[in-house]
Amino acid sequence: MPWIEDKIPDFTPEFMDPTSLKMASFYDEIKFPNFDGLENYSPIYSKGRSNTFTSRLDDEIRWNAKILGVGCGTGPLSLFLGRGDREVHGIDISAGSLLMADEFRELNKLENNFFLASDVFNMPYSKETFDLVISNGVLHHTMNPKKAFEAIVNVLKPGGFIALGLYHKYGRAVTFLKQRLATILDQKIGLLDYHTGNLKSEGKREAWVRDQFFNPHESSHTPQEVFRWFTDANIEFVNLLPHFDQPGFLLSETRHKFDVSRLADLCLALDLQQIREGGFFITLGKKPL
Amino acid sequence: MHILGISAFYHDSAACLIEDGEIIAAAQEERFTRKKNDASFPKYSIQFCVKQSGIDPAEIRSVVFYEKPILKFERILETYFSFAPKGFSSFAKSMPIWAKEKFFQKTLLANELAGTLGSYIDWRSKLLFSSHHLSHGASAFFPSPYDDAAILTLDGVGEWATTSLAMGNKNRITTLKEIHFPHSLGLLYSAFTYYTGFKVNSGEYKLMGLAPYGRPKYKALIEENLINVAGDGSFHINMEYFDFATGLKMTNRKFERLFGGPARPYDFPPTQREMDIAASVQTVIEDVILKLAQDARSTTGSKNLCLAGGVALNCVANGRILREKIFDNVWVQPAAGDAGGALGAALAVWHMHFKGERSSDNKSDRMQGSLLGPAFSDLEIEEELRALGARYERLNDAALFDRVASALAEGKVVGWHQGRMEFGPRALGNRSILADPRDPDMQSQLNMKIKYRESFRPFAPSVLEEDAGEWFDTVRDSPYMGLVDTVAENKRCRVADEPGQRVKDLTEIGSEIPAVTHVDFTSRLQTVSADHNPRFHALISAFKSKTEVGLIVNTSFNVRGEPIVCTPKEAFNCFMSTDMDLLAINNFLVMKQNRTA
Repeated sequence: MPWIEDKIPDFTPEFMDPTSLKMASFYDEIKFPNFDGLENYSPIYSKGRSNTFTSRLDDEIRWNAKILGVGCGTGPLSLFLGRGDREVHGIDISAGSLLMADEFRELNKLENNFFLASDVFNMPYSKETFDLVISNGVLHHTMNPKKAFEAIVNVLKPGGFIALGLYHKYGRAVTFLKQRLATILDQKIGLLDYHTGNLKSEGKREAWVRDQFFNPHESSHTPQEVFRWFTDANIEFVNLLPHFDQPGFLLSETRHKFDVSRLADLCLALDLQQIREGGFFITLGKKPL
Repeated sequence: MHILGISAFYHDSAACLIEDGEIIAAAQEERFTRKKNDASFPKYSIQFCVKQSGIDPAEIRSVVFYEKPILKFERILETYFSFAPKGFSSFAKSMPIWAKEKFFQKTLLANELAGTLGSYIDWRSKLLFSSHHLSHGASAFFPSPYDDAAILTLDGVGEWATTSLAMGNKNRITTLKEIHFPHSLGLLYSAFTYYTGFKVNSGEYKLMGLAPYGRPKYKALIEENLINVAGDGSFHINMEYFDFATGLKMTNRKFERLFGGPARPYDFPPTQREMDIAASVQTVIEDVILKLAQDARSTTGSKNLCLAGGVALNCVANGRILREKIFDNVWVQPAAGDAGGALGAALAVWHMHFKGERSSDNKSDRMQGSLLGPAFSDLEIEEELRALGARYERLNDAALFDRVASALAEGKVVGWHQGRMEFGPRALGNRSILADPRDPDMQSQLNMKIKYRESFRPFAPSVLEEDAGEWFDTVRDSPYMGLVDTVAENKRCRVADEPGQRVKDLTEIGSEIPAVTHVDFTSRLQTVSADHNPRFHALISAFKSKTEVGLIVNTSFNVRGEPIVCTPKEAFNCFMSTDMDLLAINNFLVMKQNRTA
């Protein structure tokens, strides 16, 4: 098996599709989401705990669960979740990002995390391996998100959960506008972006601006579309964020309401949170036992 | 006679119940609500205290609130008018809350009490109010071992007083001097906490822990510009540099110009500059506290000193008072912060309002080791462990101490959850995480894999009381971890470099107990006696019989940003979520599912 710099096992196929190739070289360069000039685990932990989504995820996952992060990038979420006796695998198409993740893992002697290079269509795992698969903001950068979704379902254990984060067609309206502007303003577009202003390090700011406004390939989706994928792959619907999320309920508690009206969906175009974070929705599903 | 003390609505709310001057129970609200520094009405703490005592709520004679609401209201108003119109944003933001909560506090408290303990009792007629600094002073003096003592209260701000000197004599406290807002050591320290990138009201510890890595380069700058200290320790803060009286931030642009740069963003790893700033402000504060202590000694003539208030948690400064022999004896209230105000308020009412007698033997205090919180029965624990699907076994005492001591000696990290929870910010051996102090990697391992916190933060040892002299220079009696001392010369392996030089690698720390030795060879020790905590004493003794070292690493049972665990379930969850190897809950030893231990 080939290795990347003797550190990371390389399972990427010899001939990749053009989209994957493009994305690999793009993320090799920008290394998203990048580290904040971090020295140790402590900020990874405190950020994970202060984010309402990731802290609730953390609270609800068993301490010996087997987890896969698809498109983990530089791996902050995988690293955060990899505590207790959990086993967390992170795959990504970008060797550059993985090297950064693995360097951090090694520096901090973290033993629960495994990073390897692979594309989502040809993952080196046998079917029904993981209790939870998280793919947060990744499938919209592949050439066939639905097919990628089906590949994920394949490695999920019966009774296991999937958390799927995608760009939202309407929630992203303002970002589309900024992407247009970016062709004129170049890197300076960051000055017009709220989230960029909140990032502390230069590395992180640049990675975010490039990821959001200069991405070589992205698609956007709607909950209705994802529901259809779920039905086709026989995945039970559990939760949809931000639409159905109420604090006080578990993330993994099945919501009875399933359908989203087109109007409610359109309203996301005006939602400030959505505009700031680049228009994003997360669907949670469960593979039936 | 039962008296209930309450502190609430600022930070760290808490409740305490006393019976004829004896402390029955005390706890902080954050431990029940699981919100760090929870300042809401301490409903659960009160319910726990009443349950622990077994009395009917109607038997409570008085309920005491730890400060006077109207005085505080006045401070907010007056501060506003003396700085107007500068402080409008702060005023506009805090006034509606103050107006509601402080002005109508009597009604608010009565209603909350009715909701917590029953509405059939006339709570309004039972309500009394202490003052903020009297509550602190009372919490420092009344439980102390001494007949008479000088009482120094140092904190951020109460109603008006920020620093006060009082004289305690039997069951009376007389206030002698006060320094008023905005001149405050607590707020000065907090301003630097903010400026170096830590969180105000909880990051002060970190600033203190950071100080030994730096050199006090900015000491003169601080003394020349920010604070003016007189010979008796009274001080005046130059408000031109600060924003806390008027704004919502701590420091202003002028302050940033003085130190040549903006505040370090929150949560950024500190650089040498932050370390030097920490060292500077720490030295300045220590010097002021020493002067205040000297003045306290000459004013009161007492040879005993009692300390309370948030700044009294600065155990480095406390250690210096003892080392420089200003007083023969120093006693620090373990719950020195606002939570301890609940205890002080109740004791103040018993001794000063109801004239309750107070006896003292000048030897032992009346805090009962500060083990005043909830305990859990074996039945409750086993039921919980079963429900959680834990892998555990039940051992007798001797086997438990032996197994845990062996595991520690092998470098394992053990969660130790025993008996009643501690009152105050420190874990004293009942809600603790324990480890081997001899292991040079232990400090970073604990910081990174158990507590998930910054790698520079030091750990503290618990030493057998009878062995304290073998390991440390001065301190022989510090049951509450309130004092910092230097590690004995013959236990150091490396010659001290020039003071303040930063050790690059934590493993470089030179002593036989590197995990609990800070870079300047100091240690914040707890002495453990067989009377105060027999089980903890027995465990450390078992460790000593295996290793010839009569001390262990003791850190609070929590992870970064969370309150210390209270229940067995919280202990189990914390155990599972970190790299701890074993967990002992009373006599139950819990193991990880897929590990051999």
